[in-house]
Amino acid sequence: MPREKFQTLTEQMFYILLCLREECCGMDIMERVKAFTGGRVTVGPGTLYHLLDQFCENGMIEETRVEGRRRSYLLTLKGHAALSGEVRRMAAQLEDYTRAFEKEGAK
Amino acid sequence: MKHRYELPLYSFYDHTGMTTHLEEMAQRGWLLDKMGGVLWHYRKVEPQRLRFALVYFPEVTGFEPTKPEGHSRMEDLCAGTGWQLAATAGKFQIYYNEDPDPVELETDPMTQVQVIHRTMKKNFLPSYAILAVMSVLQLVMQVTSLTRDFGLQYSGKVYYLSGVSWAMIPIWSALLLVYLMELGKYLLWYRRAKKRAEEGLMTPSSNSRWVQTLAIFLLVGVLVTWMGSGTMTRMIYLTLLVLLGTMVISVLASKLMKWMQVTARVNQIVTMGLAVIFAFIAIHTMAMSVIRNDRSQEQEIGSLPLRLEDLGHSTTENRVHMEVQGTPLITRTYCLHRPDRPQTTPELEYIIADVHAKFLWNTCVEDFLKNGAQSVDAAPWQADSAWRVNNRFSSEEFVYVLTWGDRLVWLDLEIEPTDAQKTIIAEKLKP
Repeated sequence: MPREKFQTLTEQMFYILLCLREECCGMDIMERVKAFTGGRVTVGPGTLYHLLDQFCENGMIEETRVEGRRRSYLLTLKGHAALSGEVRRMAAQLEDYTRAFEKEGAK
Repeated sequence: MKHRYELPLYSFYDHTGMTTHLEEMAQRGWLLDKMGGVLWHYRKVEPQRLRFALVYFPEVTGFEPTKPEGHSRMEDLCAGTGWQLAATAGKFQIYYNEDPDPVELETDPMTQVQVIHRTMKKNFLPSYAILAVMSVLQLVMQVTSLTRDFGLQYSGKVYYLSGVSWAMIPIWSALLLVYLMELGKYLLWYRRAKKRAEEGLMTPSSNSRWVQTLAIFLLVGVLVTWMGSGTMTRMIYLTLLVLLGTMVISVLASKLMKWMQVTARVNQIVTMGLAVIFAFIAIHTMAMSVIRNDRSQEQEIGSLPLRLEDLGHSTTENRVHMEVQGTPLITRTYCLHRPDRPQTTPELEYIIADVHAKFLWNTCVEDFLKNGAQSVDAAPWQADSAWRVNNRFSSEEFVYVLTWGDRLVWLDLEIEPTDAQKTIIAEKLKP
């Protein structure tokens, strides 16, 4: 069965949405993701272009300002919900991991 | 030499093939400058190691009156990352970077696969699927026509093996092979790339250059072979002219509407409509020209190798029809001499088949004898062999099949020929 769009987020999707909790333009997003993750995650301009388009289309972010060719975006409630859902999913994974290894340690 | 043109032989989705090739070209001192409808243009630069990457734009149609907004946004995002625009081709842009280890243009495998698939679904997959289905239908039509029987004049193996219809079988087969390979290769890549993307891995596109090269070789090979056969050259030139005309009309119409700032949607619909109308008119004109040509042949009584007058009949108000068609396998000449007056004069109808491909000899003989025949004395005809054929429609007709070397003749005389007439027929029809 095909997976529903953005039901789970890739690392790039996650960090782009995270950066957009504050109004931010495309160029800044690339820099912020890199700085936020200490260079572990990078977002290429092609990926960013397509994801910004798809997030806008799905109402997860909105375009807030256009100054010349500079466009700014901001996370919407729907986007926030997707981000929170992803965090809960990862937290549940972490919990499962911890419980599994705690059990092994107790043996 | 400061400029260079190249015919790019890559499938639309083959981003790996294109970028690898462009990197090799840059190392040889050629930088991609422009991507036209058919050719790529390079300019001479210092040989250097450059990284190339492709970005696809599913929402762009190529009919936009101005630069698509997506292209400008992408260029802005690239500014400051070292990626510079090399060339744009509507649905994709190609960038290069002087940094040997830059941040890649595409860093999310899942997004990349989805974008490529969306772009393919909007245009190339439906077109290739339609073309593949059309090729299958054409092949089925051509192959079944080999087995249908409308009488020897318009059917039979000799008719098809010597005609344009049969010539289309290798062309449609080659096209079908190419379309299926393209579709199959893409779908295999997509399936693999989607699976790997779920594991966070990028998948290079499979090499498509050999498929495109094979397609060009097959088509050129078939065209050259059939043009070499002589009798179909005119038809092939006309077909090529229609294709070229359709392309020119489409490009001019699209450019004009872009200049007039017509919306992409309207431009696309009008351009496609014009192409269809032009192709329809051109094909109709071609068909009419063939019919006119056939009618004009009816006047040329002198061109018949054997006429009723040769057999001692006097005729007036003659209707003469002669048709020659040929392939490297068989050349077939159909002749009909039908006088309107006097009404008692019999009709003369015959088919001369020169069988160039020896392995088809028995097939052709069987085709002419398929309604049943009795062997008769070949000596009066000075022939290698002779048969009297059973006529399906009338037992009073005198239909013969005669062979001289590689020549096979089907002859319908309506009256029994005398030995003297047989000698004349041999003199006129022998190769």
